[in-house]
Amino acid sequence: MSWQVLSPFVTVLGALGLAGVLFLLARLRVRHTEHVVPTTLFWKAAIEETRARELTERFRHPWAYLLTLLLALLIWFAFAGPKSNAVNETERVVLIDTSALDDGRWQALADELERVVDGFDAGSVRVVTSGLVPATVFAEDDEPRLADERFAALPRELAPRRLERDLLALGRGRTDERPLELTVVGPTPVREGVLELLDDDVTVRAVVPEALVAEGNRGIARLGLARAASGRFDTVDVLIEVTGPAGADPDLALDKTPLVPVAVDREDTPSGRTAIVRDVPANGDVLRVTLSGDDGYRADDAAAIRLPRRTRLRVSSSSTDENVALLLASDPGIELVTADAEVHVGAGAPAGVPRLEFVGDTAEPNAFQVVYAAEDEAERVLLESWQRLGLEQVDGTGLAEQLGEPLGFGARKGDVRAVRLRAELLSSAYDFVDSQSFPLFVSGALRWLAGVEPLVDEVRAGDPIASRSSAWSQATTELAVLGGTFTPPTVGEWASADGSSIFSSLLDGEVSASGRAAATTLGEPVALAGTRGALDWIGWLVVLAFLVLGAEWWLVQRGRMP
Amino acid sequence: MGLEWLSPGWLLLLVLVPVALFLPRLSGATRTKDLVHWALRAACFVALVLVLTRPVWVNDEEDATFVFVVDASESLVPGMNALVTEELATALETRGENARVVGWGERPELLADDERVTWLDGENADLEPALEAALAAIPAGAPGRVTAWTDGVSRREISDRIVSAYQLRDIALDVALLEERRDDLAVVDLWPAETLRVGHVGKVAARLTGFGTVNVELTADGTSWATLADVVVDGVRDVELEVEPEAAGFAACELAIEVIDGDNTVAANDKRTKTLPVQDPLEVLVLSERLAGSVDQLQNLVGDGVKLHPANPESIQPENYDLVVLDDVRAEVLPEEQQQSIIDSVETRGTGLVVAGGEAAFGPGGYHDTLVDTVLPVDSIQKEEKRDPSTTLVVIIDTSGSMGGNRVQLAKEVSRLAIRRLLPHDKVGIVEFYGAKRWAAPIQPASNSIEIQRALNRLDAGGGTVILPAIEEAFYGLQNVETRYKHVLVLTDGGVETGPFESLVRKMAAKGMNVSTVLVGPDAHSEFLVNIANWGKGRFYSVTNRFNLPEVLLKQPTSARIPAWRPGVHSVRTRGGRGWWGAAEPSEVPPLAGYTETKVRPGALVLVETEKASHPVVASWQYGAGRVSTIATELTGAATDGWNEWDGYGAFVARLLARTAQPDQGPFRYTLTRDGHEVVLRAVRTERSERLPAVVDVTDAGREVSFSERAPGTFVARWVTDPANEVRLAAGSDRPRRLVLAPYSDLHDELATDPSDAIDHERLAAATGGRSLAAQEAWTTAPTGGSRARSVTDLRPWFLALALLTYLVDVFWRRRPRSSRSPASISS
Repeated sequence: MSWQVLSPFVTVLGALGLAGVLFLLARLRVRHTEHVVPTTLFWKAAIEETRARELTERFRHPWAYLLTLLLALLIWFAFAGPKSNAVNETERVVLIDTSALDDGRWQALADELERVVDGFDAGSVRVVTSGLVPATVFAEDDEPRLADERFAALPRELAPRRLERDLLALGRGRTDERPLELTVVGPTPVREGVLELLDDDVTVRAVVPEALVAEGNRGIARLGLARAASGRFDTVDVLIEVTGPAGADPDLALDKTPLVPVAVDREDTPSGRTAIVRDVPANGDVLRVTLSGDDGYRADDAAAIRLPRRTRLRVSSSSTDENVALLLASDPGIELVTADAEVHVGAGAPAGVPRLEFVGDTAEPNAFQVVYAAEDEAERVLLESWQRLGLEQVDGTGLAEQLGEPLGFGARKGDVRAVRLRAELLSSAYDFVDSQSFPLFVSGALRWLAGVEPLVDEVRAGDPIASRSSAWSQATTELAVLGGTFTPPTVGEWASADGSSIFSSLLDGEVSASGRAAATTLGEPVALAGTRGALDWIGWLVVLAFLVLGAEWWLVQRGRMP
Repeated sequence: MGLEWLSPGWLLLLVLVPVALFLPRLSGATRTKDLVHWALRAACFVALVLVLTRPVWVNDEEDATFVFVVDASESLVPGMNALVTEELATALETRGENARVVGWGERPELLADDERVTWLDGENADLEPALEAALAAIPAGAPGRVTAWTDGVSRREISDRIVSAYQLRDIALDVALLEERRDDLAVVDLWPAETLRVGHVGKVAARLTGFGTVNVELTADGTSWATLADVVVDGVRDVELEVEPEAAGFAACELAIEVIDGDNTVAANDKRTKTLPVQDPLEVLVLSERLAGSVDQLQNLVGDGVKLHPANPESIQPENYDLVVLDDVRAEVLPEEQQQSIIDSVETRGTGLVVAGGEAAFGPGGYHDTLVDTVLPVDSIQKEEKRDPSTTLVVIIDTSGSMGGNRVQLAKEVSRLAIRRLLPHDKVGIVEFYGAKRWAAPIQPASNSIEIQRALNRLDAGGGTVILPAIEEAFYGLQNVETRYKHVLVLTDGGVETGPFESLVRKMAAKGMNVSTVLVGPDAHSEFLVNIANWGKGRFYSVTNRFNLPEVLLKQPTSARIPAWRPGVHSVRTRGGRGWWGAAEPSEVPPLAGYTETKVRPGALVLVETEKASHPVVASWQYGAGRVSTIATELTGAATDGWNEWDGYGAFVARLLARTAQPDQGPFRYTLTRDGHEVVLRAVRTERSERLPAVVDVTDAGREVSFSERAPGTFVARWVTDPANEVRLAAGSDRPRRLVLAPYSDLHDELATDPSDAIDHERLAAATGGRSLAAQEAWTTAPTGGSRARSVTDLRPWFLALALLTYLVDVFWRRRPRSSRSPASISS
């Protein structure tokens, strides 16, 4: 038992005060009356009754006093806000999965929320969200009236599921000594292994509203691309998987133009159908995959990915190094030209053309020096070029040992983009030219200089991708990449600071197949049957007070109460 | 904004209020005529009923929630905790019930038993989970602000998702940066700098931070692997230790530092443990035509890191091995289809190929213009020259009596004709027999034509025919002559004695002396002379008259191969980086005792070449997916006797084989990462047709990992593990590739995190619209967000207070002292 309005001390003090006040009131000399005494036998009594100019009299009606005190204390204790602690000996948390919700499911969940909140005893449950935006929808001491308001205040984003992580965040390594009862509201499945990772005193159960069950749902579960198996330089192969019941092939479009595939390899799988679309032109367009028909869940009916732009890179070279020459000649994506080059290799580059240069040890402070145009950001350039040039695969320690100095990597501003490599590293006395990182370096450097985007094979919301930019933005979100990777937090198109964009999609077969799946790991969905509509301690006290007040009123009317 | 009843059903009780008030009156029981008393009682009744209806006042505004994130981890500089506690005390007092605290590390006394506090533990004890919990603590739609006191040393990156969530909720995050330990010497990372393979010298790298001087020791399974002494650490220092694992599997490694000089306040971060995978030895297919036992010799040379498998050249499957070695194998014993299979495996699967050998390899081995030759970094040159081989001709002329007349002249003509075909560097001698033998002209250069002609001219017929001694004389004479060909031409009319010709002539043939015979005279055939020619591997001619003189073939002037094998002592010079030499010292390579001449191809790396002729001895290049190396000398044999004395020879060959094999360039490239409770294994196919091998989780009773092909050739497996546990995987069954993923707690121990990896707190704060603060800078700032905020005020206490008050007043009113309007009577 605890008190919400008053502290226990104040409560007791107040109760004593009330007892005192009522005691004083009970001792008030109630009336100054005239008594007709028929006989002197009653004189003494009459004297007692009519003791003049005395405020109080002796305490003569203890039962009336006790009844009055009982009534006052009932109201007083109700005012103090009694709250049972017994209910909260178990921590109860409802986790509402707000991930991967389309408008229909969002509304269904909102409709379900009131029933969920009412399904628990008053003051016994906390409702939090699982999804992109962590938030408390309802705290133990909140009024149910607020739950709907707060849920409506949540931003609606099509975000990847995080239910398992949030379960572990709540139910693993807890410092609270009370047992925890987690109730998951939503159809997202939870793997058995996750439940095993929870602390021993944590129990998990599921509530799966019927409106969120998608038995016949078809969804795009995979959309990834790779270099074309045909060997063509300017095309890619695209893998698409549609889960769910058999149906029509998805519609494909490059940007807004329907795509008629050159060849498609289809394979039926237990979960649906997989198709590899061959030789899709890699011209930088957005490939959109759409499922037609309304299966009740729209979030997984569309996916998109931006295809790479694959054109032969025009490179001119004045380098006499035979290793470099061999690499340039053997790269099918490079066209060696003598004029109008996009990138120049070696000394004497035409003005304004990005260049890969091999320079002496005094020309640059670092063995690997990146020169960026003025509008770029140094940190971003360092991060991006480090990845694109494959420098993480360079045996830095070994080369540094051979160079006799730390292997420096730096970036500085300049008029034209350039990558400047210490020329002596091209010598066979060093391991660099002979290493597998050298062709990666040359290839990566040329393409970074030309601004060619790397191939991203899959962009799934919630999964990190190698970032080319330090800043990504969506309509509602401006993200500054804090690490070396960019993780699209939601589904949609993301624009980078350098003007390029990517599309992230849901691509989650588990979500597409969700519905009954939750019951398999979390047990059969439970029906909530709480007592929120019933009276709390205050209510019971007030009802009691109401009855006592009525009884006391009756006694007063009967003249039994002085 | 307005009044609402959460349980309006109780309002029905109001109907009972008049009943309750009037019922006693109707029943005649009432004595109350005081309206005030009645009204007070009615008010009390109504107030209680209203309490039961749960009245609330809904406000359009909600109190802001202020969440304070407290980093009390060990990475803070001592004193920072006290500073935070002081600030926190002020914050909690100021914000009261609207304050929340999320923290991790050592919980301050101030926060003990405080319901406003959420304290994180385990893998959640980190900045990102704390920021997430802080955001979650602010009711949806309500205004709030988060202030984080942290040193920025985080066990994981702050994800874009968190930033996005703060932005979407419009909650600002202020970050007050505390000072972390920077000077303390610590081991912050340990990783294999290159693949560790049993029997091979590999590198293990470690990152040290702090300032000072330390000794470094790396142990594995309790055994010391490598040490480094007096390592100076100035901020951040990467060190590499060379190790040679003795057993394949998973080695429990520990790298410890012993601080000689510098700050070592925290001793717990002086060591770092990690399990490192040690791969199986290289599986090498060896094709060798060398002497029996040469493969064993080679095995002894390269050690346990390479497992050699000798095989028959006609039935090989190179794709099952890391490397194929052709050791002195002639091209003719390696069928073309097998050569093609080797090349295919090199080109597409990345199998390594080493071609080595002396006189049976490269050009001398017949590899010139073969399939194998096309992939070698050197050209198996086979120089040829058209040359007239030197010849010594001994003409034995029968000058016996039977040769009189025209016959001896015919013999002289034939001899002249034969001698005329000789070149000046050839030699010629003339033996006549006429019952005895005599050197008419001793063996001498053919250029002495005058002397030779004179000797021929002096010959005349007379005497008996005894040919055997003459042939013997020629045999002995030719034994001392060194020319390519040695030829004996016997001219006689056939009337010769019998004797042991066969044994003598065969003996001469065995020693490279050909014996041809010329029958001079009218007879066209002489079985005896034919036999002599057969035994002597020569030819038989018959000369019947001067118009039918034969052209005696003494030699065949054809194009001849120049031997590419270069015997003798050859000093060598070395090139190439340390990666090729490892512990072997290139400058100590001794001279060779022979090598096969080859010509380096453009783009190839020459590691060893002869000093004088600059002929490549050891060369290598990349061919397709694989690497091909050549060793133009005998790996084991007389030519490398000198190298066997060289301490680094075995290590060099082993390293050359390993680098050529490129065992890490398998058909799949694996990336193993941890994403919270999930392990993510990504396998990218590098060879088009290869099937994904089974991958088993060794730490989970060999459970096979289930992959999903996310893009053509890109397979991803995700499964749940305990973040506190290590994950060990084996990819493939025959020769598994071992992968290890450290427990989450070992990935980034805060005490052992590189300070340079600290989060960019300015960018983090700016991204959320917050401020970057100094530790003691004022943190009180306005809340943000809450555009749809609502709050509810419970009105029950107010109505209860009203009920209590009205009741007390009612009692007072009832019992107040006053004059009575109707006198009472006291009676019995």
